[in-house]
Parts: sequence; C-alpha cells; structure tokens
Amino acid sequence: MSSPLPGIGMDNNVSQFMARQRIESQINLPRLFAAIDADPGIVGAGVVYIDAEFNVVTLREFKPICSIKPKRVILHEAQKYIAPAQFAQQVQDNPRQSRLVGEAINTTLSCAGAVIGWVVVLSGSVAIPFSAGASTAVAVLGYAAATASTAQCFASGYRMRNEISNPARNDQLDSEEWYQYTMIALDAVSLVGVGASSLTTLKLVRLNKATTGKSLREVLRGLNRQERAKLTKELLSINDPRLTSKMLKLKQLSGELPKRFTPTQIRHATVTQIRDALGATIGFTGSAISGNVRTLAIGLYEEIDGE
Amino acid sequence: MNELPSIRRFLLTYFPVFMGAIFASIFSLALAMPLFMDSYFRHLPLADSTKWSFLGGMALTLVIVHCNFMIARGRPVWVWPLAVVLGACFLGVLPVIEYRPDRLIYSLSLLFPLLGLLLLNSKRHREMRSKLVEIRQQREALTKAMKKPQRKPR
Repeated sequence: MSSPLPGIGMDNNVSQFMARQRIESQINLPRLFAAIDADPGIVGAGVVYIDAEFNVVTLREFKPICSIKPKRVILHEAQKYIAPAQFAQQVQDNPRQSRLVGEAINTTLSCAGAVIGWVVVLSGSVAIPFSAGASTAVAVLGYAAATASTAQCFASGYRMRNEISNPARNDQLDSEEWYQYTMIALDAVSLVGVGASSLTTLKLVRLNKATTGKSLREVLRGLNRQERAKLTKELLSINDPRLTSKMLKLKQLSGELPKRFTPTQIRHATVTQIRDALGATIGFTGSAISGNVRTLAIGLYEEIDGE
Repeated sequence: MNELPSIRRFLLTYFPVFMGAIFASIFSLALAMPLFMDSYFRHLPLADSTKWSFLGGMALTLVIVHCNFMIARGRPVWVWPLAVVLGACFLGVLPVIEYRPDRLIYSLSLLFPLLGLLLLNSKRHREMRSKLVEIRQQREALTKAMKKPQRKPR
C-alpha cells in the first residue's frame, strides 16, 4: 500500500534519465517543494512527474508529516499531439478510473466480510454441542455481522455498477444526507459486531485460560482429556448458570449432557470466534474505505494536476 | 450426539453453493434496481431515482439475508421468497431491452438472477437444506433435553 505506483524513482533507462535531467533543469524544485510544504494538508507529500512520454520521475519521496498514508502530488505533462481541451478532459476522467478501482477494492473487502459473516452463521448453526447456548449466540452475532456486511456488499456493488454506467448517481449519493447516515448506521452495526464478537472471543479465550492454565497457543493446539472435561463443565455451566456442579455431574452421568467435548468441537468453537472477529474487522475496514470515510482512497489517489 | 457431521467437511461441501446463491442475489439486485429506475421511471429526477433504487435494493437485501439465515437454521421453506425475488429481478429486467440499456449491465442483470435460481435449484443446495433440517431437529431435541428437568417443581 505504501507504494501504489511500482517503479517510481527508478531511472532504469536512458529516456527516464534524460527526463529527470530535463525536469530538474526546467523546474525550480526547491520553490516547488516549498510551495507544497506551505499547505498544511500536504506537507511532505511526495512529488511525481509524468512527462509526455510517460516517463515517471519521482522528484521527492513522501515523508509522513501531513499523514501516515502516502500522499503524492502528481504533475502530469500533456502529450504532444493532444489538444489542451482534450487533455483537460482526460485529466478529469482519470480520477474516475481510479475511483472505479477504489469501488472494486471496497466491494471485494465488504464481500469478503460477508463471506466470513456467513461462515460464522452456517458453522454456528451446524455446531450442535454448543447450540443450546454459545453456538446460538455465535449464530446471532454472525447474523448481525452477516446482515451489515451483506448490506455493505450490496451498497458497494451498487456503487461499482454506477461507476461503470452512470457515475453521476454516485456523486448524487455522496451528497445525500440520508445515504451518509445509512452508511454510518451500517458502520455502527459492524462496530457493534466487532465489539460483541471480540468480547465473546476474549471471554472464550479467558475461559480457556482460567480453566486450563495454558497459553492461547497451547489452548489452540489442543487439550488433553481431563482438560477437555473441565472445559466442558465450564462451558455447560455458562450455558445455564443455574446448573450447580452436582446437578451437572448427575446429568452428565445420566448421559443427558456430554461429559467432554471432543477436541475438534472445542477447537471449532474457538476458531469460529476468531473467524467472527476477523470477519467483523474486515467488514469494518470495508466501510472505512467507502463513501463517508474515504481515508484510504484519499491516500492512494490524491492527485493534483499540474498546469 | 457424537456422530456429528464434521463441520469442516460440511462447510467445504456446501458453503460455496450457499455463498454463491447469496452473492448472485445481491449482485442481481445491485444491477437491476438502477436499471428499473432508469427505464420505468425515466421522468423521476436523478436524486429520487437514486434514492429509491438504493433504498429498495437495501430492503430486498435484508429480505435475502433473512431468508438465507432461516435456511441456515434449518427452515427450507424460506427458499421461496428468495426464488420470488430472483424471478422478479429476471422478469423485470427482461423488457428493459426496449430502452436500449448498457449492454454489459443488461446482460449481467439477466445472468445473475438466472445463476441464483440455478444454484438454489442445484442438487447440492437441496442436499444442504435437507441436512440443515436434520441438524435443526437434533438441536431442538438437545435443547428440550437440557430444559426439561428444570421445569419440574422441586
């Protein structure tokens, strides 16, 4: 991400070397840099010059002063055989192309979030041993996450479609207040998803640690028979706090409740939780890039066309 | 209770078709809604048409999510609303050719509902639905077993 334009700064052929010589002799570079650094919004922005032959020359690398994410001022020289009006049109259209890429990235991210949300829903439904308590909770959490990220998936798919056939619609959408509120609401649901699922993950891991006294790595690697029995007891009493340890034992003896879960069942519960946390995070990242908080898009596509 | 189907194997077998159906429905909505608005409500200003296509699509997305959630919880009847939404998308898009829409968008808007219906009708999806019903029955039995003794007055 730090280098969206590969090959920048490498004068790997004669024409690039010549271009650098020419630019450095034509442009008063210190003055240009001073002008850029005078604007607090783009202090330390990288400066890239693209000349008429598409030689890309980095005049200055980005320094993370104004922001952590790279900003680049791109000076784009018009091609020789192109009318000024046409060039202006091209420059206007160019950010649109990068926006389409941005929408595509966003769609991929939020749809990946949706995939993980649905994995959680489906595996939470399939995992029977925990279903009386934990797994239903997992499925419900997954439902919230899946709803929010599927809605985001729809929204970004919709935006991508507009970007192809009718970009004005997206501009319209961005200017609408209700749209921004909808997206903020979706972000909020994702955030709640993040909060709730990381809470559950934490609870489960802490529970694992408290009952077995092992580190997370060891917990994930697997438990032995006694440890599993201990953890099973703990999980069952969490599912129903009214069960006293005596009743639990009686029920386990009578075969109503399992004595111990198998390693795969326990590992599955932990992995599902972690996957859930991951899914919620991806959903959140997806929304952070989209319409209302375009941090990443700004970082990658900050373009100022040189006159 | 120990003869559980391996969850990993279950997901490997059925998740692609499950997720494929969801994506096909979502993308057919995302493609079809603006197309409807552009074609059937041409007189609407851009602001309104954008608003209604987005909100309508969002509402239908929620329907799709809920249907799929119910299917995952072992209620296969909920596949019908899905099929209705997809069918409506397909049938609604078909006459749009009259208005000479963008070719790529038009063909994709026809392709995705059909793909979705194909996936819903596939052997795998049917198999998954019947498995999920079995799992629901087991789950209900387990819940009953855990709850029963507590109802007794002591």
